[in-house]
Amino acid sequence: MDEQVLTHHLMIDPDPKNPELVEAARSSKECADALQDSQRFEKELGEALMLPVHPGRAEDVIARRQAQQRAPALPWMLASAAAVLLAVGVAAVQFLPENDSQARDLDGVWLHVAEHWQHDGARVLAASQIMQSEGDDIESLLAGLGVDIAPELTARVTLGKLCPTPDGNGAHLILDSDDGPITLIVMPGARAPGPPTAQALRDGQQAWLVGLDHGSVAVIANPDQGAFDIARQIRRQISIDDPLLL
Amino acid sequence: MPVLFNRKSRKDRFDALARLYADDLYRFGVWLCRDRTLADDLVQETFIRAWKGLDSLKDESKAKSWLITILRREYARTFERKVPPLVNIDDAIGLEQDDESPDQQLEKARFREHIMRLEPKYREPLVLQVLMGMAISEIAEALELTESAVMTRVFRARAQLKQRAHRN
Repeated sequence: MDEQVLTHHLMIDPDPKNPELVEAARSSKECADALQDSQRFEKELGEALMLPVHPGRAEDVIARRQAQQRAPALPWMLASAAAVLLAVGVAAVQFLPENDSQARDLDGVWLHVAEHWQHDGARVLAASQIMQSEGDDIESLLAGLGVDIAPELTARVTLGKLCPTPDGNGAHLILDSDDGPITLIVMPGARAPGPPTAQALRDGQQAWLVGLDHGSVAVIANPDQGAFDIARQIRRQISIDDPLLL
Repeated sequence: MPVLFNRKSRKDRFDALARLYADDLYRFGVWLCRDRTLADDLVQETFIRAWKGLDSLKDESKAKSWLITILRREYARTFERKVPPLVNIDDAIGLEQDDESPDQQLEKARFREHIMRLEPKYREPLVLQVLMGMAISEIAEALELTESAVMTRVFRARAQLKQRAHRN
């Protein structure tokens, strides 16, 4: 193998253990230099591709798998039952599910909201402080999901991204407010009772769940950010197309 | 080769897969879509689908390709919905470890920027080869290309990277 052939080979499959390449490098200085250059380049390339990752991703994945296997009602939900009852009693019409199936659906939506928030809620919120989505992109994102949103609400959305929901895809939006950014998770097809109901999340954030005709929206904020008012308004400001018509 | 299938339960097999491949899949996802948050979602969604379809994975040696195929399909589905551009290249590249000097960090950041700027058709097979350690034949299968097409693409990817590095 001459230097030209070797160099060509190294550009395609620079396996340092390939005996042909090693043998070629032994045969001439040019080939040895070419192999050395290639190894230097491949080392740099490999290190560059090895992006830093946050620790614990695999455990997040496993936790999500475990959550899928668990019964819908979670211990933390039970633990916060008193707070929920109080919040619901004070601020909302109490919702009584018509049957067990509806109750299970609702638990599933709450579970998704809690996991979703834990997964990337804080990160997306932090990202909204350094970058913004264009209004056109927000509208395209929502239109693609069959979500119609009032212009005054669109104007307050600073960041939007597509995200998974229990029934397919939804939108993760960050809304500007006088008291700081607020997270909305729009979940087409995920059923919830109409009036806002609340849960306290693990990190102390408060989540309000609002049912719409064909889906639901979670509003997540600090307890002092007035998320309930936003949750109430959302029923008038967001509508979701019937998925059967999409 | 990692041993997954001598584990007793489906759950253990899945957990082993997650521990082996979650980080590399995430890295592949970032290089694929150039968006860390989206890559995170893709990995989560990939493993949800992997959990549901784990019984269809019969051959241990195909686990990595199988996960990559799921992730690429998920990405294609997401792409159809048009994702707002959330991050620029600098954000996607991320911060480097503290134990590197500023010069080393800058050098690496530059190199990553060159990689990010490669056309996806060149970047993707290169990442699969170098980061995921896949052979030309495996890449060809995963990307539904001929082996010669993959060879051409990784050749051009390296040539362009070297050219850009040389210019700097």
